[in-house]
Amino acid sequence: MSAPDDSAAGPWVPDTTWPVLQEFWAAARTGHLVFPRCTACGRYQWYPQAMCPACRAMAFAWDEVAPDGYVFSHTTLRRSFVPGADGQQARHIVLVKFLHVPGVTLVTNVREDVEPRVDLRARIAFDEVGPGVSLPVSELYEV
Amino acid sequence: MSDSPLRDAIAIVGVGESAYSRRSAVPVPTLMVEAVRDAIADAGIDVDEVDGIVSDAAVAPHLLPADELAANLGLSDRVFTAQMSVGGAGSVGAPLLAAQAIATGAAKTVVCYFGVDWGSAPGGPYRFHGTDPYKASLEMPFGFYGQPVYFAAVARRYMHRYGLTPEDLADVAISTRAWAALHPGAMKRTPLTRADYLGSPMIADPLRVLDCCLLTDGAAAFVMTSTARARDCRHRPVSVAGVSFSGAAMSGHSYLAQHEDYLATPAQVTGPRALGMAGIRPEDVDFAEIYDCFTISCLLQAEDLGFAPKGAGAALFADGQAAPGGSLPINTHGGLLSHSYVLGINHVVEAVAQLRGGCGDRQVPGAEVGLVSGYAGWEHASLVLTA
Repeated sequence: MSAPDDSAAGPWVPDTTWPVLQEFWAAARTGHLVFPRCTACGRYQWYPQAMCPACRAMAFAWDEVAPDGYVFSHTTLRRSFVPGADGQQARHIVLVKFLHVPGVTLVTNVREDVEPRVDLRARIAFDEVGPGVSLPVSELYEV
Repeated sequence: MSDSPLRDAIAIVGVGESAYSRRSAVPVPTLMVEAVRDAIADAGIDVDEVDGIVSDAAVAPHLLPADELAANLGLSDRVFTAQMSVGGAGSVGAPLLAAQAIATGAAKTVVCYFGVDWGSAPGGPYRFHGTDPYKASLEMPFGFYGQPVYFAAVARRYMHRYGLTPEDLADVAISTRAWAALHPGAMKRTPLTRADYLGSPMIADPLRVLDCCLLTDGAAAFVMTSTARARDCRHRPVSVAGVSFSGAAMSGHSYLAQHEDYLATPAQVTGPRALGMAGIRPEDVDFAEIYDCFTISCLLQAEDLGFAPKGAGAALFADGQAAPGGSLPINTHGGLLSHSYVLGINHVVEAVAQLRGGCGDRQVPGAEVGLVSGYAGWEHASLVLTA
């Protein structure tokens, strides 16, 4: 990833080689959603960290989950603060929680410019945004 | 009544502030040295009596480490140095560090200092978030970057849960600006109306420019010593009656996206603990200086400190309680929204000024108990000061 003061234009793309999230991005490339899960107590830990705060075990496995969730909160960005990103814009950002993955929130944008609302259902899909880089995106729909 | 050995063990005896501006012509580290010098002079204490330095752990020492400050002051035997938390919780919680040092005899006179160059530095207040690889990977590609964006999602959740309206947020900005209009040192002093607020550009829905704190270059400092020593200082001492810090089991990486309900702050823990230490009930507080990085964050803490039920904080601002002449003045200097964004040390300085008396047009009549609320997301400090 580029440094935050890099003025290069264009969208901000994650560094998919960062070891902590390598498996997340590898799964995303093939259209799968995975999160780290404590192998001892089964708790999901997102974002990743070394120790499970529930049972203090230190082993996690990446677990594929159902991509079904709902909008917990949202905002529509009128002016991006991301370096290099275009200043004026109208981009929906949603914070998605999952029906079957307690404790996890995923930040995404919205497919097809659907106006977000709290509690709208969200299904996570993936969009290829660069060579070998796919980002999660939310398809919003009424329950 | 609490039996904390730290209750009223120390007093704040001196304060110093730089001018606050969007872009300082003087380097901010120089402003920091000046603010410390002025705070020590304000106390009427010889510089050589200072033997301890405290600050937040993230912002101030990055611009001016404690050893550089000591070198500037010519302190020959600095026996105590400590830092805690980020920004607001650090400066407001610093008396906890000083009280422990002074009450145990480890130090005699401790100065807390702060400075920030986010008014003019490239990337401003956002930049440090961008250096976090979790945020760079999982948030920045989606535009979820920068404090206004983070707190927009908080405000949206609050609206969903409690029916908060744009007018409710407007009232926080208007009340705070009314106080700033009475403070000659505030950066924004023109009174606001609801129409001004609603015409203010949207940054990240539902937050507008006027929901956001200012951007400031500036510095401030305050001096603490034992209650006994404080009696001989220049001004009426302001006693540290209660102080509490709490950090939740979250980290800076994850708090802004992963906080479980978004609407609770650790002020729920530190407020009652600091007030309990002081033996003071929320209803006995004469005024409060609350970390208002955004209108919404001020509401959350006002509720968590016990001034209003959860979801009902807006009423404090809608009916004028928080405004000049109200029964619970909040942010009597104009807060981070209208006075300056020096991350809450200005809230401590203002509380001291109110408790000394002599604040002129903005003086809270009969001010004897002030509560300062210092927010840093998953970390928080509450400070109870008494005249």
